[in-house]
Amino acid sequence: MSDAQGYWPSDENAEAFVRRVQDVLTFAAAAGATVRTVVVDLEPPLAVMHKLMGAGAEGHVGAVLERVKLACRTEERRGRRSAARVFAEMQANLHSRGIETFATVIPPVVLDHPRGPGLWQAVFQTQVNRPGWSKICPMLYTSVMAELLPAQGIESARALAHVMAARLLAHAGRRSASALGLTGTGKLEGEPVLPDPAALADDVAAVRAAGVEDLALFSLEGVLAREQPEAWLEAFTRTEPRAPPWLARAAWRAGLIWGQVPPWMTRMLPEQV
Amino acid sequence: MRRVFAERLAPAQLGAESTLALLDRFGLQTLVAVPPGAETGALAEALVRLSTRGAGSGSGRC
Repeated sequence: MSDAQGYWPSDENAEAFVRRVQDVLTFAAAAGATVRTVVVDLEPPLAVMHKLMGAGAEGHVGAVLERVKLACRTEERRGRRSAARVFAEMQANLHSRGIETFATVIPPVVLDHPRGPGLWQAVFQTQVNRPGWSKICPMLYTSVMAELLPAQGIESARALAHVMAARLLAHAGRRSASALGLTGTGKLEGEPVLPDPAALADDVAAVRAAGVEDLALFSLEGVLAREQPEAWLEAFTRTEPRAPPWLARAAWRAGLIWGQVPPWMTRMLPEQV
Repeated sequence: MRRVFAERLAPAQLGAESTLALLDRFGLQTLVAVPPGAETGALAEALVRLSTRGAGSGSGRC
């Protein structure tokens, strides 16, 4: 969608997004193209993402805390309830037409309980549990996670990606997917990218070792702009599973307990107000 | 299943034979972003070319 509308679909623009999907499907049908999948790239509105991604470590925490406060307000709770209904209706409609939905999400929402009102979904204004998307795909971009999180470089970020993928698989089963990269920058333009195909191969190995086999790479334009595009795609499609070191995985499993807020603690946040 | 996002790729490059051959070779489903104002004849042509190829079938991303 337009930057003014928030660019990505979220609780703030669900109805506009559904109209946009219909417009695109109409365009594709008129062109004679078959659409098998609709990607729902669930992320906070663009202005919020700029705050979250561009504020440095201290500002990043401040931006998250600001969102926690806002998520508890009555107006946002009503908006969340409405967005959940709108997205669920769209999902049902697309499903009835044989179109798969592929919901890409920011990684923290994987920590939410799959049946409870999710703290992180509310904080980041994304609807993951309620609509019943065909696939749930956290963006496990190690190049970005290594920069954002208090991790010990990309190896630690890779262990985190493995742990998050395993957690998703435990909750979502065959609906699990993962997005990997980045091979090139995205909408925010300053995102860090992977250095070489070997780094991508290590990411693929780590996520496959967690059991997730539906993988999406960001992005094709990034691959085509790098030297040896074939080497990147070779790494993406032909790497065997290999788990990161046990110690790194165990450290993240322990650390993520703090992010897993039980449903009884998030009663102030339900979509059903 | 392996997929690849195309968010800001020019339609001409998306529908180019070299790109389609690469997608076919690695069995990739392409997830194409369609931002407002991008509904051009060139994109329509690229989507048709994608959807008529095997694994590189077109799909929508808004």
